[in-house]
Amino acid sequence: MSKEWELLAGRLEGCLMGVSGGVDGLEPWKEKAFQGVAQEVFGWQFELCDPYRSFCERRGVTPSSVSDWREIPAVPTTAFKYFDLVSSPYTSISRKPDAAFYTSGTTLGSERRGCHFVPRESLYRAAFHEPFRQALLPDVNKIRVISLIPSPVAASHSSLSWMVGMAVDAFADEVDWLIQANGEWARDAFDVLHAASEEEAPVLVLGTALAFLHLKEAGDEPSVTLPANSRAMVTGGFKGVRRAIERSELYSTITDCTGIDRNMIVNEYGMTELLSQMYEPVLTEGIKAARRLAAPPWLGVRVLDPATLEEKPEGEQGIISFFDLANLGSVSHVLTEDLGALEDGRLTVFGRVPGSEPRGCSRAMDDLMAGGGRL
Amino acid sequence: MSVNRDAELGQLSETKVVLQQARPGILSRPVTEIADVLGRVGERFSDPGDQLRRTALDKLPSEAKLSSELAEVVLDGMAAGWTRESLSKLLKNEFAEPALLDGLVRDQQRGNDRSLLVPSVMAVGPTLCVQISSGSVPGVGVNALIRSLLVKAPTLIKPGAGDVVLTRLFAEALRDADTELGSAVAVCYWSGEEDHELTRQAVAGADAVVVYGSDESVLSVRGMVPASCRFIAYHHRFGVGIVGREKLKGSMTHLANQVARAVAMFENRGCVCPQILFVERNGDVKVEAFAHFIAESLERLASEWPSRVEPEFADQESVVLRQVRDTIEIQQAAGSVSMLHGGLENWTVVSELDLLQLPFLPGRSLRLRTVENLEDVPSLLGEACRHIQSVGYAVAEDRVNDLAVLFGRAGASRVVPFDGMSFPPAWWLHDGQGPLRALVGWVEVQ
Repeated sequence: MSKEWELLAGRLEGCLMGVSGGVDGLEPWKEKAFQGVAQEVFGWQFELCDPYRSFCERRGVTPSSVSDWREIPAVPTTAFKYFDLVSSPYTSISRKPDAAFYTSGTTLGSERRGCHFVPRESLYRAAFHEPFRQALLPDVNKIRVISLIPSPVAASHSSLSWMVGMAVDAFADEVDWLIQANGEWARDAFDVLHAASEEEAPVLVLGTALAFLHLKEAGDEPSVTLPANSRAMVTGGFKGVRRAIERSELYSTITDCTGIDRNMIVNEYGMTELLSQMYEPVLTEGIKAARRLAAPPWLGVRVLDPATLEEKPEGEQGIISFFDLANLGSVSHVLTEDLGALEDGRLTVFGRVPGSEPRGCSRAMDDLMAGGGRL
Repeated sequence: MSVNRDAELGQLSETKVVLQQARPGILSRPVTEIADVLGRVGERFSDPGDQLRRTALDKLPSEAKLSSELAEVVLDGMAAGWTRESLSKLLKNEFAEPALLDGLVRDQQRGNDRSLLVPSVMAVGPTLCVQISSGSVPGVGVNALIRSLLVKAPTLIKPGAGDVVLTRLFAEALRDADTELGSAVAVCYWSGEEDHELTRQAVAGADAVVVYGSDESVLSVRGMVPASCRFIAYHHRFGVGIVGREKLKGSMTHLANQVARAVAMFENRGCVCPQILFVERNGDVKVEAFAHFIAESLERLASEWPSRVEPEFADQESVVLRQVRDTIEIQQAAGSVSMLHGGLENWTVVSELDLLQLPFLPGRSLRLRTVENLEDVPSLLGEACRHIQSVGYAVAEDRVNDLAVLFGRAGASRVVPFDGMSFPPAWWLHDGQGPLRALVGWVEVQ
C-alpha cells in the first residue's frame, strides 16, 4: 500500500513542478485532470484517515459515490485542533511524519493549537516552489534574502519557517535571519538593511505583517532604501495586535522602512493546514493585481455561504474553502474561518471572523478543563 | 501625544474632580432616600408607557446584539432588580441596619462582656469609585451604578461595549430626577481592551476599583492600582446545570423549557447561563430523550426570541458555528457524542458520554453529560469548579442542600432552580460577596 501511495505522491510532485502528469505546473489544469487527481487523493484519505472516513460515511459520501470534488466533505480548520488528520500509509512507529506544523495560537495562550502532520515533506516543497518563484522571482534566479521570519532550525514546527527555509534553499545566494523563534531580534535589523542598501544587488525581504510593523520600531532611524528591484513578501494577519491596522498603513510602513515600492510588495496567503499558498501577482501583473490572490491550479478555491455551504455568486462575500491536492498526506478539502470573495478566479480575503470566545461575562469551560481538569 | 489625546485624558481627570466634589452632597442624604430615588428611576425601565423604556428598547438590540424580543425580556429581567422594593431589600440584606451608611449606629453585639459600654459602628463607601465593565450583557453598568450610590461613593463607570445605552440612560434619568445624586455619577466609554492609557488615567486616585471582565482584563487593571486601593474583581465565570434522576420522569417539556430559556437568555453569553448539564443515569427518561426535549424547546424559542439581528454579526456567528458543529460532527462520527442543532438557527445540543475537549460552541448551545451521581460532578470538573458562577438545579428537594454544600465547597457561589437562573435578585451574593458590603469599609468607635 505504501508503494502505491508513494507513487501517487511522486506523480503529484511531478505535476506540481510541471514535469509530468499531462499538466504543466502553473498553467491552468483541465477540470478533468483536477477532478481525476482529486478523486484519487480522496480515495487514499478516506482509506487512511479514520476520523475523516467516519465523517464522510456519516455524510453518506464514499470514494465511489462522488463524481465531483466539490461533493467531497470538507473538514473545518478547527478540526485540526482536535484530531490527528493524517493520511499516511505508515504508522507513527514504522515511519514518523517528516514534519508536524502547529498553528500559532493567540496571545490569550489558552487556545488549542491546530496540528498538521506532513508525512512527505517533498510534496510541500513541490507545492511551494513554482508559485513562489513566479510571484516573487519571475525575473531573477537567485537573490539575497533577508528574513523577518525565524529560520526552520529555530522554529521547526512553523510551516511558515519551513516555507522560508525552502525559499532560501532554492533561491537564495545569501541569507540573513533577523528574528529568533521567540520573536526577538537576532541581530540589529537596520545594520543588515543598511549594509544591503549599499550593495547593488536587489534583496528579497520576507516577513509577517507583525514583523514589518515591529521593524519600524527597531531602529533610531528606521529607514533605508534597498537597491532597485528589491522586493518584499508579506504574510499573515495581525495575530497579537490589538488595534486594527489598515492595509495601507502596513504597506507604507514597509515602503518607509525599506524603500520597496508598493508594486514590489507581494502579499502571500497561506495557512498551517494547507501545503499550497496563494500570492498577489503584482510583480508580473502590476498594482492592479493587489488584493487579488492567485491560486496554483492544484488548489481548488471556493467561497461558500457559511450556513448552507452553497457557492456564493461571483464577487459576493462568504467563507473560503480550499481543496488542496498537495495535502495528500492529511485532508485536502478544508473549510476555513476566513471570509473572502472570488472574482475572475482571484480571491480577495477580508480576514478571519472574530474568535469563538464567549462575548459576555461567561467563559469557556474547556479552557479551564485544559488547565488541569480530568478530561 | 496628540492634542485630542491630551484632551481626552484631561477630561477624564476633570470628571473625577467633579465627582469628588459631589461627595459631601450625597453623604448628607439618608440612604433610604437615595434608594428611593434610584428605585423610582429604575422603575421607569419597567413601565411600558415610559419614554425611557422605549428609548432603551429601541437602542438595545443593535448595541447588545440581541433581537428586539429578547432585548425586552432581558430588560424586564434586569429592571426587576432596580425597583424601590428590590433596593430596599438589598439594603436590608446587606446591612441589618441601613442607617449604618448614614452615620454611627450602636452595635449591641460588639459589646464587651466586661464593659457596659456599647461601641458604635458605621459603614463608609469609597471617596471615589471606578467601575470598569466589559462585554455585552446589558444592565451590568446600571447595577454597578446603583451599588456605588447606595454606599454613597461618587463613581466613574466605564460600561461594557454592549451595555453603554442602559448605563447612560439611567445616569441621565437620574440627573433629571435628582441633580445632586446625578452629579455623583459619570459614564464614560472607551475600549478597555485597547486603551490601557485611558484605563490607567481613570483608576488613578480612586480608592475603590471594581472590574468586570476576563482574567486578562482583571489582571491588567489590578496592575494599575496601588496596594491601598480596594480592588474588587468579578472575573468571567461559567454556569452549569444538574438534573437528578428523580426528575427524569413524566413529561419533560416543562423542565426542558426552563433549561432552554436559561441557555438562550443573553444569547448564552452570561455567566449565569449553563454551558453544560450534568444528568444522572437511570432516570425513567433517557438522557438522549431529554436532549431531544431541550432541542425542541430551543427550536420553539428561536421563534419566540429570535436570535438574528444584524446580517454581519449573523454571518460571523454562522462561520464559527459551522466550524464548531462540523468539528463535533467528526466526534459524532466516531461515536463519542451525539449532536442536535438548529441548522440556520443558532442552537446546538451535544450529548457526550465522557467529558470531551470540544471547541467552544457559540450561540445558544448546551452540552449534556451523563453521570452516575450528581455528587461526583465537582470532582469531575476539578479545579474548573472554582470558576463556576451559578449551578442551576432540578433535583429532589431533600438533595438540594447536600449538593449545594458540595458545589459551594468546590467553588460555586450560587445554587438555584433553573427558572431563577438568569436573573439573580438585587441582593444576591455576587460571586460570593455581598454587593454593597464588598464596597464599604467599617469605622468602629469604642
